[in-house]
Amino acid sequence: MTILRQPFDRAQDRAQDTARTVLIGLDGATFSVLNALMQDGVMPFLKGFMASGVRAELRSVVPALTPPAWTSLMTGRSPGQHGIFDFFRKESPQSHRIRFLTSRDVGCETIWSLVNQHNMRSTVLNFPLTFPPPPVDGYVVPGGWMPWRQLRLGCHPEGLYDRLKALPGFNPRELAMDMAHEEKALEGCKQDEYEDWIALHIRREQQWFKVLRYLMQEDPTELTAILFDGVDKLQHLCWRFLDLSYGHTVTLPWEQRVRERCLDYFRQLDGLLADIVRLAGPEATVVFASDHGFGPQVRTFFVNAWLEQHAYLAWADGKGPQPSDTQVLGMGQLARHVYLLDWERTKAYAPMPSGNGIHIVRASEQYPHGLPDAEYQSFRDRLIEELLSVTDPKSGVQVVSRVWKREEIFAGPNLELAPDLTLELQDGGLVSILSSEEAVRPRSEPSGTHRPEGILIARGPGLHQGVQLSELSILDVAPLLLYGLGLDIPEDMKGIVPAEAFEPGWLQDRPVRHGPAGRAQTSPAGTGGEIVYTEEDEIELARRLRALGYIE
Amino acid sequence: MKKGREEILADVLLLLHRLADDWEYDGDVTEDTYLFADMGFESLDVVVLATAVQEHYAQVLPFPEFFAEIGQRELRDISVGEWVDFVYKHLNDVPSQRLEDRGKA
Repeated sequence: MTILRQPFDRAQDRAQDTARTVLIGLDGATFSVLNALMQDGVMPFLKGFMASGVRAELRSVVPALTPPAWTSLMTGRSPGQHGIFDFFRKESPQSHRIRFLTSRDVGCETIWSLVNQHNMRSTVLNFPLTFPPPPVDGYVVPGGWMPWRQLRLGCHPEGLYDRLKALPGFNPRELAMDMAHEEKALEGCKQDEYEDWIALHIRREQQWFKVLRYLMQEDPTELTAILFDGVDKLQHLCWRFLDLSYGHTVTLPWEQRVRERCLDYFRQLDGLLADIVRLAGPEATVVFASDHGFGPQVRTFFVNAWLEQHAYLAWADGKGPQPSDTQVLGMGQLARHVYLLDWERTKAYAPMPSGNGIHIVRASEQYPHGLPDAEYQSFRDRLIEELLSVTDPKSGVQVVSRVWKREEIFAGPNLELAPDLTLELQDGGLVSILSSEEAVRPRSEPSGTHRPEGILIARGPGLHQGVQLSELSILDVAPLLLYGLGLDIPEDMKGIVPAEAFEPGWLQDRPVRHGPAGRAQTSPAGTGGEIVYTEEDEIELARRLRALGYIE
Repeated sequence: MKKGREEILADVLLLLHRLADDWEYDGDVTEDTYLFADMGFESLDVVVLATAVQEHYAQVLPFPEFFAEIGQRELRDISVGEWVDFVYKHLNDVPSQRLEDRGKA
């Protein structure tokens, strides 16, 4: 049953005044990069905005990965609650096939639909897991994996795509993902391809801004959210040009050109951010947030190779996928290796390079050689102990800094579908699932990889000005947004409205109110779930993961 | 949900025509059109199209088996006619599973 509740008076007043809350997602944004850009004059608007609001590091979820992290932000709930652990999930608890996750798999209510319950509307642009578009009262243009040819199918409501198509300069090939544009720069990204690739992402952000501006001007909604994902992509591919503090020098002419192009991306983005905040109006609450931070990855941990060396995994052909040509093979082995495993001799394996998860093969009718239930706990404990003892043979550094049991991070209705173990690597990196003679190998050049510390910058009524807060959780963003709209916070949201963000007396005069727990997602879960990858799909998806920066 | 083949064909052609207009595909779209070779689909396009068809009919259809079968044959492509045949066959299967029942344990 739908529970309709009225927002408290301030929300009604604000809605009538068309004051709004705007969420601007900057995928993968980190202060370690932004601080330097603001200091060097590349992002003057953001610098000024930050001085007039609050800022905090924003602790992501485990794993600090786009799908679970943004889903946690837009639901205010943990991965265990919403069931999104990765780009993919096991088909069923007993299966070792994986499948692509869609909006149907988000197991709890999002803030987009929550505000609808209070006669407010949402605009949602470029967020992952928004296809098929949820039937929110407002607007949805999905992001993530949405192919440009099918973008029409993802736009909500009916007719929106045609309205967008009529906008001057609207180009769906640049707005959504088009591999023909992306892959030429990603299949190795030669020196002379960086600049075009970065320019494409500048144009993409401009396309998304064009859509946002149109909707904000034509039919503004109370909650407006847009995600710029080029930040993440640039940092994955161009970390060495962005983070000069790591000892890199950018001396060659082509390196200097690439760095300048990177700076240009952020310069242009800063201009778009300024325009969005201006469109929102002076009374709006504006929140910038990222799903995770970024840092350098200095080595590669070939987790399946390590499992093979310890006799926990065996390849049916005796050698498994080889990293002989990582540009071609890297992600191309995404799920195919599941078919390459010798299931009579495999007890544990990592099927995907994106979530650092290890699955344990449990004994069943289909997998009679799997681990008996009675041995599960002791096997898992032994595996954890051994993983924590892995060291970099050159530096002696501990490679795996932490191993999470699934019940520690994924407790909830989808626990049985989650990886049994999830690794945190010392350098914050992602594992490789390829075969290798060496389980640990230094990278020839550090690449950008995820870190748990993202960003939050917010300005609006009642919020402090120029104050740095202690670290917040990504789960706090949804309560903050709902509070900004004057709405109750569902009691099952794990996050809080951060009191220290507000001026003295503000919360006392306008106390946070909690309401009933959110509804479980009752829409037809399983639509996307019915689409299990074929090998052809895997190759295509692998290309897209590469395009998103999940490269080995 | 019972649907005649002609009705499904009309639905699918309408959908494909609308999509094709968006990328300025100037070829005919008929039962004999191949999604990959003729229309330039990539694998994910087919996955998204399958999701859209299930949404349209509010019914789970066994696309994984369909795709797996296509993946094993020499011509790894799907004609519009094949797609319609598949939907027609499974949309009229009894018993069928409606999408809204799918998430219920």
